[in-house]
Amino acid sequence: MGREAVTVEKMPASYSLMEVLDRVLDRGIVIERREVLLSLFYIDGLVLEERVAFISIDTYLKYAEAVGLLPLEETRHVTEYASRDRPRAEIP
Amino acid sequence: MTQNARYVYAVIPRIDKEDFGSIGIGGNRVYTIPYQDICAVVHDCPPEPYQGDEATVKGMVAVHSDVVDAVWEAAGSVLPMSFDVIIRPGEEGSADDNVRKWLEDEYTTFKMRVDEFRDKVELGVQILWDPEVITRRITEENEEIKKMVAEMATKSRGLAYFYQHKIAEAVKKEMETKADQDYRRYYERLRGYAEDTQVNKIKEHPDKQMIMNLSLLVKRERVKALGEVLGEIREEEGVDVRFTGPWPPYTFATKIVASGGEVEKWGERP
Repeated sequence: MGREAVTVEKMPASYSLMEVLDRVLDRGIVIERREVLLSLFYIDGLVLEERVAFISIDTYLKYAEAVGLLPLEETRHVTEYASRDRPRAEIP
Repeated sequence: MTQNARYVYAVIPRIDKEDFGSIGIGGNRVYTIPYQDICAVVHDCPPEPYQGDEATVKGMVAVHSDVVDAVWEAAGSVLPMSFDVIIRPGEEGSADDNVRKWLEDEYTTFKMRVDEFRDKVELGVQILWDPEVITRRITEENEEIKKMVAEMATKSRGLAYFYQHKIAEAVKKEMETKADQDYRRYYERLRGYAEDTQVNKIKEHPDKQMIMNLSLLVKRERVKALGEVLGEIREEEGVDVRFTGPWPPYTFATKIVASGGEVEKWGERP
């Protein structure tokens, strides 16, 4: 099984800023107490919009295009986030 | 402005190191406020939330993440706070008093979690399909769809159009079934490697279809074995695996929410 393991280990271990934002903004401990000032600040359209993509229309359209059955009717809007130039420790 | 509030990054086991230097947001000095054998990691700030435009907040979030990483490495375990949690002074005491009171009130939970998270890491596992490959596999393997494609070739233009939709619909349905089956199969296979799991929302991906987005809390010594299993999954045709980490246990710390009292806040968690 060594070869397979290497496959994953060799994958770029960098992680995107999106993943950092996802964790730091949307996860972690929050405080609910009277004497504590709790601020939850979110950036519009970043973490708030997780844009759930179910197996459905996108896949259907992609399929249709792939086998030449249908023209691609819809282009998905995809936002790319640049990878941070700091690799997370290699796995493992 | 008066720096009488405390921005909290994390709760960690108490260690000798009490000062982490000027590594905080805005170059602020990061230090610890202890209570018994745990401590809060903070910097001094005005009693106001940090905010700004997108780039500013992204930068601050990155620093928050770096601080949590640094104290995690130093302390061996960490309960990461969410971004922008600030403890302010109250009528009866300073912010420091409130931090200590908070640690005191939540001590049992924090202590338990700090111990629980020691020598464990959070890993992100995303399993993605190449939609073209998967659809090709389905069209090649599903007898009903194969039959329809063959029939379509013999039909007139108008009827072929009807067939196109019928085929696409059948493929879509078959993909959903397969996604569901594969999801269960992968989940059963992976859960055994984790002390805890969290199923996250599926996200859009530029050219792949994500079918699984998991966070796993894994003992350090089991990370390699998990990697091997993911390597095997990745060998399946049309399947890709994203494996990220090790992360501080942000996802699993989310389950820790101190209870009681009214909440004062500027923004709502979505």
